[in-house]
Amino acid sequence: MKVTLRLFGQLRELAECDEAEIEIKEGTKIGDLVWLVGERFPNMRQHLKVVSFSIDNDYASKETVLNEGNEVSLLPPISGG
Amino acid sequence: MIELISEKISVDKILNNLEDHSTGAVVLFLGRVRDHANGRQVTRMAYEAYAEMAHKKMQEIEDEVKKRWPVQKIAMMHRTGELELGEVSVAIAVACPHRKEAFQACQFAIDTLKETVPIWKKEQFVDGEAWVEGTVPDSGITQ
Repeated sequence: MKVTLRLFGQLRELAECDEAEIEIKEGTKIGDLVWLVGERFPNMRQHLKVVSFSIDNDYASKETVLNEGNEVSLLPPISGG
Repeated sequence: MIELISEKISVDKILNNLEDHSTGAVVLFLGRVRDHANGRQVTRMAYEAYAEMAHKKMQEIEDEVKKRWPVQKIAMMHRTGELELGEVSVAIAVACPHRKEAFQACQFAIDTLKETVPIWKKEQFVDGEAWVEGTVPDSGITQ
């Protein structure tokens, strides 16, 4: 199954796109998704050490199990204000 | 009032929005683009937001502020896009019956915004640019 990844800030620049589809197995958790993202975008790896995720506009823990069609946002450390 | 906008923030608009005869204290915080960071000369700043989530998180701040203090009115605005030096990037105003709670509520709102609202800024220097090292929200993942 697939989830859609949305990318922001530095991660968006490194990926050179603001959205990507990632193929995952059933039962994949957000914590596992980090590794798949690192494989897809090797230049992002060092930045994935400190990253947050969100689903449905809310922060999601790395234990969250992903479902088909989920839109997962990859958020670098925030710096608004 | 909660807004993420690409046009200049209007302080008049914010204060008009806070009109209310039951409150005697209004505290307004403005964050603006500074000309230096870590010893480097900043020439401008670019802001990017995850708009839907940022709006939701700002609404949560408003809800929490109203729970904790007698805030009758609150306005939160954040700019996106390219900003020149001195331009206002964020504005928060609260109206309360008295000043003490207004100061506390406003401080809480800006501190929490910086800790939870998904917005990023990139500093432009004379000789390059760099994303500002940010904060990992409590619910974020650190590998």
